[in-house]
Amino acid sequence: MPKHDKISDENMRSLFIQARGEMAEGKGTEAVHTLSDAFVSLLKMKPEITNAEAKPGAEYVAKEWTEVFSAELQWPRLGANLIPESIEAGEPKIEFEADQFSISEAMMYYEFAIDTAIQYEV
Amino acid sequence: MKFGLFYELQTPRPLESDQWHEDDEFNIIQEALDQIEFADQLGFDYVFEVEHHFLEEYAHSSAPEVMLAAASQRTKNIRLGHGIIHMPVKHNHPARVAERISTLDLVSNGRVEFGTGEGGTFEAGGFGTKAEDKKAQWEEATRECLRMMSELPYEGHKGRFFDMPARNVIPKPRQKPHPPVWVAASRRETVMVAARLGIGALGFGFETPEEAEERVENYWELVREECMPIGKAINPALVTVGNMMCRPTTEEAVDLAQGGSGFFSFSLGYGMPKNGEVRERQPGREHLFREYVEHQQKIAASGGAIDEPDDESARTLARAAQTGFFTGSPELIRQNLRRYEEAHVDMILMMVQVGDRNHEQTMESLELFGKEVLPEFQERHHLHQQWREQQLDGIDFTVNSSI
Repeated sequence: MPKHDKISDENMRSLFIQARGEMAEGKGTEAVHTLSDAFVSLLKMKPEITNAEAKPGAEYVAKEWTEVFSAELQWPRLGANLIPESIEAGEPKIEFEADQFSISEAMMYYEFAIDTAIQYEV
Repeated sequence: MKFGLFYELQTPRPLESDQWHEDDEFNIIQEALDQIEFADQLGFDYVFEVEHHFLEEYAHSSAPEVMLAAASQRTKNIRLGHGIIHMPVKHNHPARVAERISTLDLVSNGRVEFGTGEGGTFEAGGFGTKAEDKKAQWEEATRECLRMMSELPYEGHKGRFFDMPARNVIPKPRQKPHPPVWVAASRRETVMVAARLGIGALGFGFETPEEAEERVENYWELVREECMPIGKAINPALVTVGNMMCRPTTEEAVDLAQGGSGFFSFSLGYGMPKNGEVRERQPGREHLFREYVEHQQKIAASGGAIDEPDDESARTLARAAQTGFFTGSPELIRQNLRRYEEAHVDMILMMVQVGDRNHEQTMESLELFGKEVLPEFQERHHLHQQWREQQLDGIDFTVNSSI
């Protein structure tokens, strides 16, 4: 079963289906933009993702939210970068430092975004 | 489940001196070759050697192709793995990688495992590679390198990171269409990217057998359903890495292992951001081993507070280095390994040459492991191969895997 079948939210599922198609066509850049839209939507739907508490035993996590963020929410920094201040302000935003993205970069974003969506039962 | 050794060629500076003794690098390399030769005799299946640059004390293995070529002439069966080759084009031109892999495969009679990766940020800086381009460069160079090994002639390439006119890249490897391909995968997402591209994941960071089980399940699901092979043959396989010290008693093993394992962990995280701060490096003038010893003394004085790098890749590796899964008596190690075997992990790679670990003790540890741990897993490996055949059922891609 493709992973996107585990997504209940119709809009979210359609974004993952679109990104999957773009990856299959070799369009890494388009896929990363689609996945960024999906992840920003996900953060708006489930703001608790960024407030995730440290897992038991994760003594390395400090109390500062940025460190919790870096430990628990490892959105890949491959040129589509989540701006920490935008999350603090309640309006998550992704800035693009790169003009082009490879298929493997898109796959990294896809895996992270869709697994987070599944984990939070979207 | 198969077993291999994993080498960084760690060369800590001596405590009493600011620089190495004249023979330190010579001894480390010669001892590693002795260990690999012995491991081959004992029945270990693989040796993997890293490529790292400029990482003083942590890894002096900057020319693994030379080490593996030397090992090929001192061994008969053990497979020779790059763990990994830096694929960004300024580190290694893809044509040179293809030539070297093929030549090593011929020299060793088809025993090469082609591990690929992107290298670290500090290393990339030394070659003028932008850190943000590393992954994209890895993909482009790996894809083209595999074409060069398998196409006659290579029709050439115009890409984002390099161009090359049509040439016949020779020699061709002994294994057809090319040796098994791997990628270094510290992050969970990279393991899944490996599955999507049909390559093995050298998983530097499995924390527990339970997590390994989850990754194995998801990895194989992607291989079956969503694979777009980067090469001409797939190598579906998952590996986990850990420190190994096998002694008659667990107490003795822990006592002998912890210094080396601790230094590995410390030196791995050295230079990585910690609490948001990046350490400025001082090439040629740092002394990691001395800092490690002082660090340990501080930890002991403070009651054992943990200090780990922010970066997930570094952190997972640091944890793997400190876990005791493969440190202990033969019975304890067998018990722990059975859990990975039950999770269908394909291979365990073991670091045995870390920190200031003593060569003679390492050889004794290898011998004990080879005689009292290895045989039971070798006897059961056919069951794992049957399980793999079930996973591969219905997959139409050509498979070249040594598992």
